[in-house]
Amino acid sequence: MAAEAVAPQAAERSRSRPRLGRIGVYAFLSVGAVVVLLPYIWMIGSSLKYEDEMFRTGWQVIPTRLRWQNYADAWTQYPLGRWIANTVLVASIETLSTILTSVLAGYAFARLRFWGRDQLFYLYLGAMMVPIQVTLIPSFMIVRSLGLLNSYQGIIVIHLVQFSGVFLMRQFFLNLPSELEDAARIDGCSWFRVLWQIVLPVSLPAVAALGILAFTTGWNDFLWPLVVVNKPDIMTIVLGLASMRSESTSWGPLMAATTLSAVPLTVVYLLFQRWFTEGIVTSGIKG
Amino acid sequence: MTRSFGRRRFLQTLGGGTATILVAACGSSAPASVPGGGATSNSPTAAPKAAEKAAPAPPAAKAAGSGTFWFNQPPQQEAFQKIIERFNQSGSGKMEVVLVPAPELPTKLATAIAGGEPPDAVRLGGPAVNSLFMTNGHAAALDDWDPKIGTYDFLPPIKKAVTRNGKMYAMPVNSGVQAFIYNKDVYQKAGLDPEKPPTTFDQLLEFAAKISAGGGGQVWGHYVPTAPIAQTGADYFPSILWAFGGKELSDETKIAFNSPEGVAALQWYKALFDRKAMPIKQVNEIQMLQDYLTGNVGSIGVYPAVVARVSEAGFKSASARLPAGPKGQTAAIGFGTIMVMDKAKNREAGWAFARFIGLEAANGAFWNISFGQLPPRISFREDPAWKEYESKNPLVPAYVEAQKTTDLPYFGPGAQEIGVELGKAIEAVAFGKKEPKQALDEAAQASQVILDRERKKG
Repeated sequence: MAAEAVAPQAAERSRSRPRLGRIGVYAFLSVGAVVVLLPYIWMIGSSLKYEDEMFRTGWQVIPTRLRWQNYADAWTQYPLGRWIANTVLVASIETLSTILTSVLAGYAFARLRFWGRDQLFYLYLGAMMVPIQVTLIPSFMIVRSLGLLNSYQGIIVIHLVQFSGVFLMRQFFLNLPSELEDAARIDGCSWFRVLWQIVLPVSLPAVAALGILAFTTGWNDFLWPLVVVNKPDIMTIVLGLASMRSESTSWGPLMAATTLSAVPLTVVYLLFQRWFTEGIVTSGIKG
Repeated sequence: MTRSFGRRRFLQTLGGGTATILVAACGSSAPASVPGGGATSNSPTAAPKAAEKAAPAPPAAKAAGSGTFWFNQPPQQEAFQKIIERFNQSGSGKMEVVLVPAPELPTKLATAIAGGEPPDAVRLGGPAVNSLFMTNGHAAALDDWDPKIGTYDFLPPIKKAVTRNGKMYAMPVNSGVQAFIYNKDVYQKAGLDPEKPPTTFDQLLEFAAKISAGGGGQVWGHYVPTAPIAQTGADYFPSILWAFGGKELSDETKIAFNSPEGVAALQWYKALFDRKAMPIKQVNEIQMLQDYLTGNVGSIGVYPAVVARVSEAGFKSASARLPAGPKGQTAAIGFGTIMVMDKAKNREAGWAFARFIGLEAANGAFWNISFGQLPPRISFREDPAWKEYESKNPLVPAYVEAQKTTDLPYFGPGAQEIGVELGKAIEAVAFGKKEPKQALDEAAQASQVILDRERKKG
């Protein structure tokens, strides 16, 4: 009898343990989500605040009075539209170029056999570790000698190839089974055709992930546009936002502009988020 | 003041960072070594009486062609555009303006210099940034154009900061000094006489505590910067340190702010928090102003760039000189310059613009009125436009008065990093984590390491 009574209790305990675990996981994730989202909520809240409420002591995320005029001020007093359009142009070209070069180079490093392949790859890998501050002056001098200062080309040229993208795609291609490709090669397919017709169609999640990462990099890039751009009409959005700051900053319009500047990036992410997540997982860079 | 132009903020970014490395890396022939860092002595520097005389006429301007000028306060471009139009119409030359966010200017400038594309002239704020580019040989000596420039009536601490081996390497165009701004309405509500601001730090503490006591946790007596950044330690603390008889350095090689006088100064900060005269939180200059503008803060000690915003606030404010400590009152001064770049394509255009603002009283006054600054030349205060501005802005005269006894905070090797260490000490005391002596001793120890390291670099 006693044994029969104990058994259901044990089963109940074992059922409740996973439930408790799941609650713990969700609680942890919820806290994490709040921590990550809070700055954004604060930004949006601040974009609608009156100046006198902006720096009130304590936690006041939601404004007591809404000031939509901050958005109108940001839009009319600064060339926000131009800055966003410039950034879309720059980030889009950089993204397309990064995808093209990363797919080609990543596939070559993953599948093609040529002399010095691995050494070359490790050399690139090492170059990836060098911060932009180190290469800033040489890059500036090259761009200057090309006559590209103060131009869109000058902003874009340095990001046409991003080795982090090559690395990501190589890792993804290495995880693909090679049998289909081998069969295609035996049937006389060229390497490029194998890549284009067999590998690429199954690599779209990784390409999407790469695209989002490249677009985000281009969108948020600050240091390079700062040094190569002098004309306000080719400023990117991050540079524009920085130029709105001073000791007499109008924080409402600045927060409104910051909120608006985040919209295109958020849209891109939402459109491709499923592929992005899948790509990050399958390319083996999730850590 | 430089200060209004965001000097402090780009100094924070600068401290030992990218720009410093880049500037050093691309440095050529240094014109001279930094003379003592400026503020090892904090004896008050009285403005010369000779300065009251009219400014000597600068050499006649020649048309200098077109040049490029980098301006570090994009949000003030509207006011700046009027200055540029004035210059362009003067026949002295034409200037194309590039707006560069202040915190990023040193990095951009250093890269442009190294890349062979420096602007013809640039506006720089504060002694440390000026020193950075002067010491690395990127500034043109202004004496080459006007051999008498060193004799003009610039405020002595400012002149000293831009002079190397007897030559001036940047044209001071604006200055600022800390003064005391207080909310008369808050004073009245607290039962204090709104016409009688405190004259000593002890009195300020009493007043501030009284205001807070009646404020129900919503109104605070006085604010000081407490954020652990260079601005707190390098720009704001020195005025109080000096008032208590302390110094940042005893000589060029020895950190001295942890002296008994320094501890007494920080003890005064601690008393502000112990007596609940200020909320315990991290405050930088911007936050200090923003909180003051809510109308719930009794007083702040700030630079003159805030005058316009304070005047527009919905309550009555007044200004006075900073209160005095046991050793008197010497306010920290700041300044901004126009630097002509040595390797620029059209140095003549750079000089023409620097000369236009720095040596012609009407233009110098126009510049300072436009940006809410103070002329760095005493005689420029006699300009009719400036006099009218002063008479119409009752908060300004206290700043002009405060300029009579001023000095520059330490700006020699490692100044920004040392300022950060001091800022950390102040924050630790504000949050009750350390006693003033312990906090200052630890900061002094760390600062000495920084100073020794930087001095070794030369």
